[in-house]
Amino acid sequence: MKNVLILSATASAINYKNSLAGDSRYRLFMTDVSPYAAGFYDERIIPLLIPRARDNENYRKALETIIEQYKIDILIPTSDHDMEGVAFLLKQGWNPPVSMFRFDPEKFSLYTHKSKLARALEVSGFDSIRSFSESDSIEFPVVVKPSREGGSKGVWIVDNQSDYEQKISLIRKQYGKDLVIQEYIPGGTGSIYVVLLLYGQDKRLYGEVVTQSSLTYMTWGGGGNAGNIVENPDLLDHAKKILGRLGGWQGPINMEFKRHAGNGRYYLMEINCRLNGYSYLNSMNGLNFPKAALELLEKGTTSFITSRSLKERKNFVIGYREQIVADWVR
Amino acid sequence: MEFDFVLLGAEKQSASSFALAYPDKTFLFVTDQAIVDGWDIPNVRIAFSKINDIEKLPGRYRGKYVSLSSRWTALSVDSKPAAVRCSLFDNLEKIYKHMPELALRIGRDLATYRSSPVILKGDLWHKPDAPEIISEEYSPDMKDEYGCGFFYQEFVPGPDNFVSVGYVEKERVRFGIVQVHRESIAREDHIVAAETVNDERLSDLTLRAIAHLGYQGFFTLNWVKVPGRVALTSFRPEPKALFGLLKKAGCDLLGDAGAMAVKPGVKMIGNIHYSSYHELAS
Repeated sequence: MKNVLILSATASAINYKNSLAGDSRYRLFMTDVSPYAAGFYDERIIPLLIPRARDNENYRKALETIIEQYKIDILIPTSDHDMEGVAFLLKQGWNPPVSMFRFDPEKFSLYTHKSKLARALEVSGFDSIRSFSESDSIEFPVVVKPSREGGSKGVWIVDNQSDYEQKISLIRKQYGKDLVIQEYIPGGTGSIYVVLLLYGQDKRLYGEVVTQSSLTYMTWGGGGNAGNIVENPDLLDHAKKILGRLGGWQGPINMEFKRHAGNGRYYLMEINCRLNGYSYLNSMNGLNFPKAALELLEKGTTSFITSRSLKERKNFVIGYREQIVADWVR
Repeated sequence: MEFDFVLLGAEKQSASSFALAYPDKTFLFVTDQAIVDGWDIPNVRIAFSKINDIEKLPGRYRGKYVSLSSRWTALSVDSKPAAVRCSLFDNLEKIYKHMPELALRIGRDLATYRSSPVILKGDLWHKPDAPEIISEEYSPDMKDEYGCGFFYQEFVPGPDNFVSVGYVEKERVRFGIVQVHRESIAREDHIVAAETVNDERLSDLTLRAIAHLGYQGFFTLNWVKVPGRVALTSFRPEPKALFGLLKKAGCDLLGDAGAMAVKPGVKMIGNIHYSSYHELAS
């Protein structure tokens, strides 16, 4: 039996738990900073509280202690903050005795920084969302958001100068100076598509799927809480070309596109270097990305995952169901 | 068709909480949204209705009608009295008048706010999306895209947040006090982690606040404890998704008993649940 350490216990970590917890080949450990992370509360999980990933030194010490104490074989970061923490440690030369995707931290930094990514797309000849600097004359409406946050944190759509100035000030106060100002791409419910790709350590592609959100957490958009799998080979090709030209990836990665309501073109909104939050939709349809990721780490290869062969497709909606728990994780 | 309960506003998370807590009852979820949770619950059927069509529902569906949503209550056919009943501003004013020790500064005109942070609140129902805390550096655009109306309230950050969730019918009030450890606020709000507590002061305040409103039906009162005092932040004429937790703690909101002892320390997580859905005609 392999000991698998899943960093974070919410969102895409729930996909790992739901997709792997019944598999007798793996014993699952989960970490989080909060005792109220939903993924902890499953008898098949060994829960562990750790410091915040941005507390780099204590985070590293905690991971090293856990790896040694529980004889961890495989390490999988699943949240943006954990990916950021692991990227920082890898950049410092961290080399824990586990199987993990040893991705390029410079690529991580490029893909997850919204302004840098927009510039790289432009330089590489892809459609990119028009960005403004604060000294530019702004053409409203625009989206203002922090450069390095995910999960709809600090995202505002503004359509006038006064609101713009207020939101810029608010983002600076809450998230620091590094922010991005972008043209607003019009598109309502159903305009958000997520391309999920799984690359091996050898940078070869082992899985691909496109999903479309049919309901979002916020009324204006953001993460999906309902959706379905769609066939969109052109978008898949587009996403793979972008990643290929920007330098590839090792591990799971998801690219969020918005389809412009006017011109029908797909604009890359952001890249998250992990399974997407609602990726359990894929496992519900027999496309088990978590299992494939572990096989890649164990054997270096896995069967190619694609939705093309699916005969029936299940959609999904997320609900938050009450689960009585005996005690909080301490 | 006949059901034990017809739940209006089933896009709220309290719909699945209600149905899962009472598996021996049958439920019809009624919503004006295309996509809702609950299709996999055996004792549930789901139907679409626009809010202004609800007078047609009793002809089709029999059962005890319960509104889970202030939006449904406020916008229902009998809209004037319902809107009055749903106005959080009016209800807070009423309670604060009788119980000034619970009061936080509130106002309808943002221009009158002077200092210290205030929070923008939906008046008739929960203002969708992220909470907006207004300070001297930040005052939001006041476009009311949702029709809920706004007002501001002095902002008192937690961490000691509590809710009283219950049902009042004639002289009988059944409710439990729950400490909210974490909640998520987006299109809708839902509780992520909570536990029941035994708090005589909050119990007494709950009974007095409900009595001052003369309210009947499901309710949720929100409290925040700050050093030296308790403040009331909200009253909504709707239940929170805590039916299962309260039942487990001995508080059966559908039961016949009047006041009841609620076992403290019963804990819940709002676990992320995936299921498939049928899109409803809108």
